[in-house]
Amino acid sequence: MSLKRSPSPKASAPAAFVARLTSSNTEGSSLTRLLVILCIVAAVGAVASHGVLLRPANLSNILQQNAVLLVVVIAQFLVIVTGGFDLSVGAVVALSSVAFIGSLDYGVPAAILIALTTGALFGIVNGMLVTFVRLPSFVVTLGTMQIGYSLAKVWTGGGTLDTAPGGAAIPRSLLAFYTTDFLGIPLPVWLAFTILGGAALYLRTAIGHFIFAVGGNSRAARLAGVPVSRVRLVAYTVASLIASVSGLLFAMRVGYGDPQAGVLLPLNSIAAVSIGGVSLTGGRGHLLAGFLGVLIIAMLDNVMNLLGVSVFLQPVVKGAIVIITVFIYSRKQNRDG
Amino acid sequence: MSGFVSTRLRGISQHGQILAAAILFAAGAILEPNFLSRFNLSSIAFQYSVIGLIALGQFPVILTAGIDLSQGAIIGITAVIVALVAQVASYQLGVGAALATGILVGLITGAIVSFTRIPAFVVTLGMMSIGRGLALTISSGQPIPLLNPAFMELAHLRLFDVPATFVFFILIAILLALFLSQWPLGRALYAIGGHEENARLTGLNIKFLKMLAYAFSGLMSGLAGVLLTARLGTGHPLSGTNYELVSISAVIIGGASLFGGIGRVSGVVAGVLLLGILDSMINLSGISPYVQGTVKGAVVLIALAFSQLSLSRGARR
Repeated sequence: MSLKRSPSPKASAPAAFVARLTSSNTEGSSLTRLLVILCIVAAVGAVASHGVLLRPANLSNILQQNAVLLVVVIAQFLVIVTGGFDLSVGAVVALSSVAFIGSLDYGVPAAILIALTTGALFGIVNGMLVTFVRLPSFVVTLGTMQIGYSLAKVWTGGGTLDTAPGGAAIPRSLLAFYTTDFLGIPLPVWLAFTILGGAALYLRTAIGHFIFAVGGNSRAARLAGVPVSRVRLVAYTVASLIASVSGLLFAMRVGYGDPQAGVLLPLNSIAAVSIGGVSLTGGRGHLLAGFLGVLIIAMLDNVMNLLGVSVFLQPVVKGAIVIITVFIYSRKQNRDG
Repeated sequence: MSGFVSTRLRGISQHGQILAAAILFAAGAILEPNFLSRFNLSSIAFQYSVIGLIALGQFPVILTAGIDLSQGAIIGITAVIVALVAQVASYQLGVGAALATGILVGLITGAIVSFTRIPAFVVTLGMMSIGRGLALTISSGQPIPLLNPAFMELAHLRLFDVPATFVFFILIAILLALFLSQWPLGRALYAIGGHEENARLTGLNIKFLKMLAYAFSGLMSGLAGVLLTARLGTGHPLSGTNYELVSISAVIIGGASLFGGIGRVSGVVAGVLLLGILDSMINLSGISPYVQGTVKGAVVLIALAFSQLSLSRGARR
């Protein structure tokens, strides 16, 4: 907070680095703003939809429909904070859903393990290319996105995959997992909360804690003794691992593996993270930001559907909301220095 | 000035990309009997001229350290507009309306990017959603048939037996190269990407220059929308989906930096040709279409890794 009178906006990257070392308040205040925006959207939506939006059944429905995105956004957040992008999240979701269904012959635990390993491998490749070859994350993950979708199609022969080669299909109990509620909240959303908790723990570890420093100013971080390459590599790996968990969720939701799943996930997750007020240049943001960003978009979608807004017009409104919310943040950030 | 010096140094590797494109072309000609066929060459030439045009539009934006994700959506809107106007009035008017729309969308994007502090990525991501939504709304989600043979002929024109779109692409590339290297305004775009604050302090009108870059990207996307519509015979609202990702790849393969200030038009052209030749070779090779994505992605990443490694050995900042 002592940085309120920062002399020039250009000093913000190193200033953010110092701010992270000296105060933890900067994130708290951005989270408050986000909660205010969320409440406004909820209130306006509730009025516009005559209260339907806030009915428990409807809210639970919104959460359930967005469980996959809620998990993916955690992955995207981790990469964006390091100063990168992960465009391969959708491909990892598709490939891990296929890998999971395709290896059900070996039993569910083994299939889950195979799916998660596939995801983690993608993260390792992304991380290696970004850290050791120093390619921009945008092109790296664009390339691995193409590879991921292609491998998923090779695995299934192009279409969706209902059963493993030996005939094992997804067990009913797992299909039920997606639709069961616990304490009024769907189980897949509980899973998303669990992963959120896991990510919070990861941010407390020595290696996870440094992703803010690496994203804020990697040179300063390196000079301060932070193992920058290792921090990035682990962040990409953890992110892809989380994306593959949401691939499992996707498979449980639809009951098959889909090599074309998640095409919209990369840009939707980046949009949600931006709406959450996370800086796309890295180094700043709260773990909950992307999560709440998804809720804002999801409520908006829901209200537009309830009001019968044409599906063709909905992206126009969503695009405008993304620009306007980030505009509000950029002004507030300006004032805070 | 260090921006200009490193531009020079990067020039070496860009000759490398032109060389790589030439080698790949020769390899294609030797390995694939059908590679040099008239049909194959003209189909690569058309498809990659369209991608080339939007890559030329993307390049000045990336030079200013920006990015334009709305190109594909602009292609969608302009495809719909040109077909609609051609139905009710004339195709010439339609082309004019489409190009004007492209410039207008680019100007709006450029204005938001330069007058606010919203990152270009978010602005153009939003514009992408808005643009695609408008294209779908105007067309009610249906492709609009083009009932104008004269217009459809445009896509098949040939000059000296070369597809006219390709000649057009090369012509615009030459003009852009001259603009960026000879005109003060063009050189100023490098200065912005090199160090925006320094550029501002030397008295450059950064807001105007950025708007110019995005307007040019919009114009090129509009042109791409018109050409695709002429080629397909329908104005499809989903036309150009993901094209922005290809144009960004081509610019990066061409040696430009996403952080701005670095790159050359010759490199971008080489990047477009590399992608086009690679695409055609993989198509002709008879590899299963499902595996093709893996091969393409892997080849592009390996090529980028090599150019990056040789670059950091030659000219580490």
